[in-house]
Amino acid sequence: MNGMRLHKRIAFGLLAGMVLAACTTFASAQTELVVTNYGGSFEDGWRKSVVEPFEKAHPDIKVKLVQKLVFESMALMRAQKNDVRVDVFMMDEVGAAQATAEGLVQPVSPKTVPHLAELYPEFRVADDAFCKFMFDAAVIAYNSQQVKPAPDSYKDFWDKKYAGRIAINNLDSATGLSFFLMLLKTEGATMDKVDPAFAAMKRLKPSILTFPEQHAQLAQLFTQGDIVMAPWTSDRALLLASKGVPIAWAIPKEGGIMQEGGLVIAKGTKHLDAAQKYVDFALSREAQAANAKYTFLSPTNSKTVLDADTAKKIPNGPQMIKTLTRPDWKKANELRPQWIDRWNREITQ
Amino acid sequence: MRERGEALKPWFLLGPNLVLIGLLMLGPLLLLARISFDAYEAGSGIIDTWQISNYTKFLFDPFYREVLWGTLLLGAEVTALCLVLGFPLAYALSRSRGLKRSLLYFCILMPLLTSTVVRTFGWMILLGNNGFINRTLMALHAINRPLRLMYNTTGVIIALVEVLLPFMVLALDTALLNINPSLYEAARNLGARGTRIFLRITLPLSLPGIISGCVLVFTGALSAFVTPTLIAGARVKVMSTIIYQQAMALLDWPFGAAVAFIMLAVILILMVASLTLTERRRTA
Repeated sequence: MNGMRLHKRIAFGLLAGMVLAACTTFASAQTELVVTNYGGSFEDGWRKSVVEPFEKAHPDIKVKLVQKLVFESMALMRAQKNDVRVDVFMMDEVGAAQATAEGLVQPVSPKTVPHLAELYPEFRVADDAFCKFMFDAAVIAYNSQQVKPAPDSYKDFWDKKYAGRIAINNLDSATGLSFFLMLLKTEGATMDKVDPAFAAMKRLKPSILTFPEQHAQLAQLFTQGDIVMAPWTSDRALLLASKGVPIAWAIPKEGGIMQEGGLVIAKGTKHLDAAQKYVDFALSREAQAANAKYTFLSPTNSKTVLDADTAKKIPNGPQMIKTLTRPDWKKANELRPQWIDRWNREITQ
Repeated sequence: MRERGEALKPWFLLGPNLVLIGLLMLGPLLLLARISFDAYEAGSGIIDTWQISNYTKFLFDPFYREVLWGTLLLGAEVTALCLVLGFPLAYALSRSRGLKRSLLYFCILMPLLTSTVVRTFGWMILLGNNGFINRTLMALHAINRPLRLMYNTTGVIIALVEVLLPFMVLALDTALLNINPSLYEAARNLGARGTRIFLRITLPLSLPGIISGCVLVFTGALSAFVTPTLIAGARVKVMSTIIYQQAMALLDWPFGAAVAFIMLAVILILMVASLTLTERRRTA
């Protein structure tokens, strides 16, 4: 008796659910564009500077923001190859290049994405396979109260007075890779001959408090005062500074590494037109200026006008773009697995 | 007719669960098993082939074997600590009644209401060089330089014990509740003292709970990812962080999948062994 009632109730529940699902499907005449972003505090800024104004300008498109780290995005792109669910991916140069190499991207052109024409020429990629929408600089972040004067060389990490108070990002993260590439330069090594860099890291090893993997860990370490100096990116340091932590960034005399971010349209997207409009909007000078203000990421659109405060804080402009080192990411990406393998055994063990 | 219905009943009840596990667990696992025999080339991607080099690469490399060994050791340490800390708690819980029991039960469950990430961040605040514990001890002049509680195995063990303790307590509680109280009375009537009662009655009869609690905690510790990553960073290498590094940072899914299966095999062997052991004890 009771069982009977339960069956009926379940059946009714299922039916109701199906009807509801059907209704919502019919009701959405809007195009839903699914796009990824880095998440966290970045997402708040991106929503304000790009997503909300974009939806206002295109009422027929609804943007669904999902949070994905670069390598998660890469995994998803591979997995959804035959049935694309996520239309636009935000990933760094390394990930975007990998996706391009695997044939997972839908190239654009100035015809489909007109704002491409306004980018600094440095930021156009071969066949416009994807769009570079921002850059930041891999530099030295330091506690502005405890590190005086500001660090001016990567050699400062080897200074004994900072022993136990520095962190070096693990090599499997983008920040760690940039530091390693800079190390090759300061130690007179090359990508093909990395021994001097590993020798220098072995000397540094006892001074390193920890090898973080995530930005959140570095933020925590700086906030708690466990470390006073670490290789990091300009935007992340500024984001933390905006929360009241005494942290600043400096480009050492050996230079900084340019890290670029791309918007990648997934090949086979069912909303190509909306995806192109979205990417184009993100490249517009207004969106770029707003994004620079909220997330401290530097604009790639040469016509962007930054407000005075932002312009002072973030690396920007043609001169800065020429100053920053742009490594051969393709080669670095190919050699990275063997560097990491060696790093696992010799440095973090 | 009725008998046949009775015989089918377990399957009827198991049905939904089996379908779910089959679809959501077995399916992906089979897919992953296939990938673990593929090859990978940095820069170009996964190469569709059949080969076992991902497995041999792991098993014949002392570095990876050490990671496996270290992970098992970490799991054993966490399990032992959970058992030692959890037993008295579970005993107290099983002996209390009414409101006291509800309150205690709630306190034990409470940590499970917060995500592991949040709790781990909490531990980071407590354990850091400038964290609460070190600052308090320094202020009390108990130590003159910070204790290394983080960025090493110690911190991972502390945090994992806290994260996994509820599972141990709940498993032990169930077993302890199943012990018939008249057994204690009988033992006391026959003149047995506390230690003897514990060793002859409480401990043997709670063994199924001890085993299931240990299995839960051990597998939980082995597969923990967030806690070792956040507390220790790259210095402490465990199987899960190796899998993450291969699959997510290096995009080498084949090798990552192979490592995952090696871990799965080790867990299965240990679990089957310990469960058969208890079964045999019970039937003996």
